[in-house]
Amino acid sequence: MDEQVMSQREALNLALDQALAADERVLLLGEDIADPGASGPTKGLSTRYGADRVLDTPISEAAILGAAIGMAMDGFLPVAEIMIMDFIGIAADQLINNAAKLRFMTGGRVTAPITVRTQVYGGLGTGATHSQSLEAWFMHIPGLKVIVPATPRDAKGLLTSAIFDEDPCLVLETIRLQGQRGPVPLDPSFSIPLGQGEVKRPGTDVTLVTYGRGLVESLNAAAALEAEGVSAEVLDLRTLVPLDVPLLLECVSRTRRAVVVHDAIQFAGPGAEIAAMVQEELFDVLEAPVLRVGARFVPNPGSAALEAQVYPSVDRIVSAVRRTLGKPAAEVGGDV
Amino acid sequence: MSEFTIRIPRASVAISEATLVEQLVEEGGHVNEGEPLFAIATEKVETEIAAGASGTVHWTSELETVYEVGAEIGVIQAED
Amino acid sequence: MENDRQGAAPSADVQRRLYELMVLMKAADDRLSKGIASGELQCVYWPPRGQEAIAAAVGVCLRTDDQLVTTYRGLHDLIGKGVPLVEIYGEMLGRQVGASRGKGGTMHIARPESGVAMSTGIVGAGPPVAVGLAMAAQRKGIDRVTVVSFGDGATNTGSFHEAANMAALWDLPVVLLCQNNLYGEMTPVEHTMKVETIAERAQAYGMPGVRVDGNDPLAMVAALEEAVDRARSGGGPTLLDCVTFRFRGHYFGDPMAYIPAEQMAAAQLADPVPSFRAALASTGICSEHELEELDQAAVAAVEEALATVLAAEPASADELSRDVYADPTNCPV
Repeated sequence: MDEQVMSQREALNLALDQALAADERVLLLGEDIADPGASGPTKGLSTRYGADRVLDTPISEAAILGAAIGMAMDGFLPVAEIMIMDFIGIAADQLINNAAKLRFMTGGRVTAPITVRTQVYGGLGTGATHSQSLEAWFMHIPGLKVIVPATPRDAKGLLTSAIFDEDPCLVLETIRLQGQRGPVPLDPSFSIPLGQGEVKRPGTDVTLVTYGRGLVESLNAAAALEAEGVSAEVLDLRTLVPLDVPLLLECVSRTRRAVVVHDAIQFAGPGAEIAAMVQEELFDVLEAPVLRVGARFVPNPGSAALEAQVYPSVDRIVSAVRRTLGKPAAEVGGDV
Repeated sequence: MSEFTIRIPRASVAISEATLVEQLVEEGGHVNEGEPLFAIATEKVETEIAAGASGTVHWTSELETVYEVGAEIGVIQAED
Repeated sequence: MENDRQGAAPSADVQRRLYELMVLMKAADDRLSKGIASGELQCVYWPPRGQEAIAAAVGVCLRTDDQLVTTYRGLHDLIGKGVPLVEIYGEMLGRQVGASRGKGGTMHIARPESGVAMSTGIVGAGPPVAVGLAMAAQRKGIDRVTVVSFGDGATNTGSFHEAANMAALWDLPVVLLCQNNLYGEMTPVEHTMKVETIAERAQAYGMPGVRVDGNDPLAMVAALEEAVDRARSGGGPTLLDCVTFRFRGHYFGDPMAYIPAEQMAAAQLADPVPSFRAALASTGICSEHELEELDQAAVAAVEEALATVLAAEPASADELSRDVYADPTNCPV
């Protein structure tokens, strides 16, 4: 399977392009997704596939998702874009009460295999209402799948799976990762099964459990820890629902320590569920409590300098790992 | 002798870093405010950036290097 | 229906005040844009350059206690309503002198003392809040008016329709001020709605709708005064469809590939600030010397405000945990 190095934005663009080419049922809709206004992963697609398969819509998020559901009910595979994740609240009713529950409420007679792509603008100084990571909301809704790719390769493979999945899928793309480059398989049939995590870095002393942008900080932390003689494994969950619990338990039962890292707010975040699961299953194996390193419980400040203090950092991750190793507090830098 | 710090500009909303691809005024050269001073490439587009002041340019940056938005890449020594 | 200025033109003083506001808005945008482009100033910005006539009319027609709800593209509205430039620049550049001490950022500037209740970042989010402010005034029996500013794109959001319906239903003292700059982000307005004008949508809610030349400050004052008087006297809401243009795109740095060159050129010919300047000179309301003084005063005010802000302390770290709750006890802040 030949590969090519590209950015995550290009990898997402390639996935959308190949899905549109492969299947007439696929179409894209959202605000400013068609040329010449498009600037993100949909750039160039309306020119190639026409404005009716890459459809610019008015600014009407509830109607965008509702329309996608209606088309999906009738055999289409729509990929709707909610430009910035903070806008998803406007469309939440359609996602939570219609898309997620249709299969169940109709006894399987009606389904809505939509894909919703949304972009997280955190960490760019755009302020409290243009920066949020809200995946925990949607993990809580039975019937929805939640997908958070971190690398170009995973972005292509997971988006492809989401588009052709029979259930409604929410794909979070992280703007701060859009420029990161990596090898991506060019084969249109390449896809990564949802619910399959991946160990991105082997290690023996502790498992850093993460996804999305958390992977970047975790890999940096693992490198810093190696210099201290600590071998940190980095497990990229890739999807939150379905969640690869078998791999999670296999990893942590081996290292016997775990720190969960994510950009979403730490309080009542995805890490709370992950830590609870691990502790329920591996209580007698764990050397230390499972710790979490997430965003602080504050709205994102407008000032970029202040905002940087909100998110997980290498220091906070390293400090958490030291705590799981029982290192004396003195050696624990930063606030955990 | 006031000093104007040359920084990577916030060329659009969705970028956090950019590559310095060209220094359009050589080290020690003179530039007038508003004239092209350097060029950056973000993942999507390459743009020329105008000088924010007039004076002598001193670079503290390397070409083909990725800088955070806002990072200092040189100074303009303004002759007052 | 197109609003033509039947009533007498505003007084010379009011016209001078309109220009003073407009040229300050333009100077504030020019300096900010130059600073961001060169890397000197680091912030996100949604430029309202070209929409000054609308905001100046708001400044002239509203009392200080009248309420304004504006948006992330509100630099001109904020100046019109009297928010000091130090607080605006300070907030955009993350300084303690900012309106929210650097925590809110460009999109969320508020100043109750000037009647600026809120700036929203989410398209269409303002109108329902303006309905609430108008309900409060109505219940208190005070003749305070609320104006909510938004763009053409917002009129396709559910929240706009819900708010417009309620405003008409309860005869609320609110003016729905659409700054129709012909583009919802990158999409031309005619690709987002079947109706020809935004004004005609008003009929569906049972309120008057007026289409106005948003680049003509005198037409704007006439239309806004009529709408504010109607609201203040209990006659209920009005939808103003103020046709204008924005010269620097949706966000600062927007390459504007979606705007035809000739449309931009035509719009710039109709730039409200130089056009009104020429009108004041030709009608003899202002001498060239007076206009020159007003122009220079604006630039001086902008430079002084920016200098103050750049010298001011950045937002402090302890702000992060302040203002999340009134009393954060047992909250994991």
